Amino acid sequence: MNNELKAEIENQFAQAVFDEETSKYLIVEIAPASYLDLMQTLKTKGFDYLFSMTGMDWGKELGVTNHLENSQTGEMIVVKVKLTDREKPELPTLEKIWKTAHLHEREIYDLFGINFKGHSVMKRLLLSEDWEGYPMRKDWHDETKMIIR
Amino acid sequence: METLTLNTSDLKSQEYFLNMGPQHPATHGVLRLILTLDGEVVKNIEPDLGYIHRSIEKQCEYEGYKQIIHLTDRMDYLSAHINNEAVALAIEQALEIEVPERVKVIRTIMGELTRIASHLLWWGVMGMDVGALTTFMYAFRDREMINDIMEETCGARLTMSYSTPGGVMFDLHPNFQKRVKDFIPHLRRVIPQYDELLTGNVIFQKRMKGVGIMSYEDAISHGASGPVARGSGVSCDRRKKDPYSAFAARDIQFNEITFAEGDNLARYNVRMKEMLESLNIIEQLIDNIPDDGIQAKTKALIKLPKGEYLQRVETARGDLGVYIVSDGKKNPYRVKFRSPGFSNLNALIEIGKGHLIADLVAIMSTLDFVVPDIDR
Repeated sequence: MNNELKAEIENQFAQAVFDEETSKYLIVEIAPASYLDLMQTLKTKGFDYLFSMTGMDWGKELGVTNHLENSQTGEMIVVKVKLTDREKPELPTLEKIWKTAHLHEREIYDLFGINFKGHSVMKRLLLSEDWEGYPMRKDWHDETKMIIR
Repeated sequence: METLTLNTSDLKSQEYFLNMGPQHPATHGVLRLILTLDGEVVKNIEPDLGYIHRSIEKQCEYEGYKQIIHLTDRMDYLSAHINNEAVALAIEQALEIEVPERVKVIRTIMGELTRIASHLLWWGVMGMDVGALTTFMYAFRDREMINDIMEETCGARLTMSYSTPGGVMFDLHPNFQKRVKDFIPHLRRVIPQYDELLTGNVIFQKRMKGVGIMSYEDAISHGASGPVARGSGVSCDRRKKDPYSAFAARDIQFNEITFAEGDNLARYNVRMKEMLESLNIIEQLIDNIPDDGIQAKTKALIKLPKGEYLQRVETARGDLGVYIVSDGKKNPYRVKFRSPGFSNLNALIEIGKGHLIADLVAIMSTLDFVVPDIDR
């Protein structure tokens, strides 16, 4: 665990919450307002490989878990962002920082309904355009018993 | 008689859309690309996915941990064994199970055989995509030998589901070692033939060299991995960076193949050389497989402790991440498969621009997509 990096983030982002218990990586939880700032800062600190963006439904909140890697040192950091608004969840896009965010954000929009502001093609990716609802959410009702038996 | 005259000032040209796929032999499955074209030059590429989306991640939330493994065969079916291994490793990591060394060695041999089989299929189809039909027959002849080895031990040729949490499902077939040892010199003999047939061909070289260039920085920014990123000079082999199974247990000597050019030929060369490296790895393991059992003790009903677990492995296509969030119940709370193909597809959107349609087909071939891996 990189304590130096942790201290730097703590200094710059007062509201960042750390979790060191549930994973072998450093986990940072950040408020949506500072999300873009933190990600931009991490990029300049050498985290150039956005390994994955995972859409999450924590029950009350929706959000994204980002796994970031420094491609030189192999160090990894996990950034979580939670949104309490389930009706109109919105986050800024990371497309301009990491190109890979383009498809990952489209997938999250499709399956979790999080709108990424500023994204170049904010359309459904996997499901058809007339699909209603967001099936990866925990409160999604599986009417035809396609998956939930 | 009146003569017809053509008034050229009335003619106008415009960009148009073309659907490439979902039913198109060059998309290797049901991938649909919406192309914006100016004549035959690609101006924009918009992928439309989901034609083989089975919502594997959602299904996982309603299955037990042992069952999840069987779903992962159906993602990147050419790396089926390595996908199984990734989930098994993630579960073992969470339960802090140490598997017998025999299991580690078997998994790695199987994984490398899988990688060779996948690269062989890629090579055959790659040739076919650029108009050399013979390669397909050669590659399938040799890939068949691996499928036979798999069939004998795992009972399946493609969707093996051979790894289980804590071990492997059955012990090796008595013929296994002999068959693998027959295969190694065979492939060493035929790869130079492959090179003669396709690699050195002038037309093929012209289709490959300098086409579809991706820079080192772009490869990282696109999240590319596997042979695609290594073709742009990125050192990203998980077997070296974060060794697992026999790579961690044994001191295995092999080279990570990288080429700096970033074009089609570089990606092609990476895979051709990787097959030989895989043979080296198998050769170092096949003669000393320890005899300490094929299964560590696990409970009949597996429950992972509360927390989140990430396991990354190197499949034939690149960096596969299995991310499991557990709330302590018998089903996972959330499973994410970060598939290498999904991020590599992101690269196609950019490097395909400005090329002719025929070159786009060649670029797609060297990116080696397996669509079920992208759609999940």
